[in-house]
Amino acid sequence: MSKEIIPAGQSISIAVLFITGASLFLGTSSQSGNSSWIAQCLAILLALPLMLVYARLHVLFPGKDLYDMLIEVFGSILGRMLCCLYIWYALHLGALVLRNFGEFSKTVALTATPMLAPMLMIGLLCMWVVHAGIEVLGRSAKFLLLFSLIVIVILQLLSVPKFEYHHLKPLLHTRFNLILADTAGSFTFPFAEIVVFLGAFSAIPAKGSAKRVLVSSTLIAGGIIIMITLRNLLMLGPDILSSLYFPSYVAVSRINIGDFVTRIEGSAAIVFVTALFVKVSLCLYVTCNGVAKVFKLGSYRSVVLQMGLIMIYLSDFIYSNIMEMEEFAYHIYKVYALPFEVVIPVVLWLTAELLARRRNSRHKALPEQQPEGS
Amino acid sequence: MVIYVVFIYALIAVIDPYGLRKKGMKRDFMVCCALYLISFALAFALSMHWEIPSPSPLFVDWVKKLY
Repeated sequence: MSKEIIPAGQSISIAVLFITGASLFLGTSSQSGNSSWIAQCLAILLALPLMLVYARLHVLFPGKDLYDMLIEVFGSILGRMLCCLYIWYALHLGALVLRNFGEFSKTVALTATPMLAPMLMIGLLCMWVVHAGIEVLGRSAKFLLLFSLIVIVILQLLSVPKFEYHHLKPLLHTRFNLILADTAGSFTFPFAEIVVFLGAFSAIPAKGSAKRVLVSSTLIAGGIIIMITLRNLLMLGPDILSSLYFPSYVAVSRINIGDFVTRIEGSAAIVFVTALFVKVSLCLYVTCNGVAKVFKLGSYRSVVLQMGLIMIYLSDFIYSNIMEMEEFAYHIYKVYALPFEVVIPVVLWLTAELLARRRNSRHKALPEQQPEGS
Repeated sequence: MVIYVVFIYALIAVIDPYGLRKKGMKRDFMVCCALYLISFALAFALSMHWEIPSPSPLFVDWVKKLY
């Protein structure tokens, strides 16, 4: 089977939709009230160095993904154990995002339909695209990003008459530790979640610039998230914003242009679904790729159907209710995800740098020794 | 619902693990079979409305112990 390659433009599209994915539904952590957008800016600034670390891993291991890197650096046993952790993380993240969609449809759109039905439909679509290959996902993401951006910009413009700028004042009124808590929350969910994309690094061309892909996608996705946070804040105010499960949906439902353009929240829901589709698909791809690497399978496609079904079932029983989901997403996830997003990749990077330097010094020493030996 | 699940999984068994065996991918077949059993067990439990323990409370406990 030929090696799958996704060009930089498609990689950026996947990464942007991946980062914005669940944040379009749930918004982001907003304990800091009207200063939440400042927390977002700080989270982007914190995420940028991490993106450089991830990009450096691609330079050190060209053409290899996270699982190859872990096995090469930490050896067969420890490397495979860490691979299993990342398989779990990708599977769990995919299930969490699917559950977000399930709760959204159960609470807002399809209230009488069992939650499993919409999750199963999206899940089957994700299995199909992952089975078709990451190139198909890349091409879909490029089109879907364009579509999503157009819808987001139109919704943003239509929201302007409803903006109440006094909601932004007083600026930095809340305690700084709450802003820092929001920064940590936004850093882990959604910006640093892009660590999952490392599992698909083998699809980026060996000479392709992972730095460009990761940094630009973080900035674009960060811009979109800040824009949406500000829109929600200006339309709803900090008090209402913090009390809602799906603030974007409520904010968009308030758009009313001359009693003619009303109830357009359905359009916003389309954007949620497109972003969610890309996020779950990438999680499923990375999970299957990990299983294929750990068990030395011929192709990751052999396990797509089964892993996809397990992901859907996991999303059904992972939480007992929407409050548990909210609690996990905003308070628990930032600690739970930190080892996967920061600790292990940084340790991997430092170890890989040491190994690369040792290898370089050996290469330099060899030509000096050869003339003496001859 | 349980009958639907059993029938659908019988069909999946023909398409997925058996397809791999016919292609001669022995290792892929073995892993796929193991995942198939897990997947079927979960689907069966969900269709019977049995309570499956969620891993989330475990993570919540760990994180709360840290803080």
